[in-house]
Amino acid sequence: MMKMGSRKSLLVAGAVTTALAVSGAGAYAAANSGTDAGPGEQAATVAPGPERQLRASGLNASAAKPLFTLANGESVGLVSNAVTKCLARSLGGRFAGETCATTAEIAEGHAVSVGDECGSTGKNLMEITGLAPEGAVSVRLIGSDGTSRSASVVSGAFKFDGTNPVAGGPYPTGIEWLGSDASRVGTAGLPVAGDQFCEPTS
Amino acid sequence: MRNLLRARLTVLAICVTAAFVLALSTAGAASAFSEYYGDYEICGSNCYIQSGGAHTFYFNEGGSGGSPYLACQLFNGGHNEVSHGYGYCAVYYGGGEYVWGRVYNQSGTSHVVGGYAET
Repeated sequence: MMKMGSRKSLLVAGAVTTALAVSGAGAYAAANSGTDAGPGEQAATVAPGPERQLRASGLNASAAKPLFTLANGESVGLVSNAVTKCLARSLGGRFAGETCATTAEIAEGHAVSVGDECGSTGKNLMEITGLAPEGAVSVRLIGSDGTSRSASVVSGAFKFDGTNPVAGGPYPTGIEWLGSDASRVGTAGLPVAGDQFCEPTS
Repeated sequence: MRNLLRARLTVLAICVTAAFVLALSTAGAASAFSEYYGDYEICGSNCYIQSGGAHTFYFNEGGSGGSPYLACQLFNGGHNEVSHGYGYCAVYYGGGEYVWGRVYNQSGTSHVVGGYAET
């Protein structure tokens, strides 16, 4: 009887110690996370954080099929399911961004991403990547001065490597998708207002 | 008697060790800093919300209702990474330096914009 009581005490003590440790860790975790989600977060179906668009689509960057490499060194791959296509970018084995869209969103031109690197220690690179609608074999990047650059559509995706527009100089304003007979398949703007490519740091 | 004592000590040691391992692993996973910021209306002429401080942020995202042009930024005095998107944007910085997070509204009209950044 005495032995049984001691064993119970020992197990209770162990359980209490475990519970205290877990609750302490939980409080630590709670103290290091916020609770006020913004409207974008509230609208989303998954928790905020890296790979959010992929997670919301039930996709995983590790399953992406390599497509091309950007001038900034990022590798770009394509992963998709019956509803959504995603471009997944990685740099040095670490996830570096995604562009996800449904077929309808791609047709509306909402599958274009613009990335700028404008720091004083950088190369001032600008990367425009995106998904093209069905039937597009090439894409043209239109400039504010009327000039354009062309790129091929690879597995439904495209990229433009370049540098950020200089202040007061011409800047890209939109894209035009072309079919195999060079006919226009569609157009889309860029998710940038005017020439607001580089953002200030002060 | 000696065996019984040894068994009790072993059970106690296992319990205590398990508790500390669990606590350390959980606390370690939660030690990464994250921050929600903004979540109020800002003008559309490149007005922005900003993180409360600079941290070794690896990720910064912004969102708003609808599809306004948004720009997400991670920056310090030497680095300035920006990504533009429709209604949602996310930018990554792998340099490990202390950077600030911002989300700009470039839509031309006022929107409620929220941001989230994590190390």
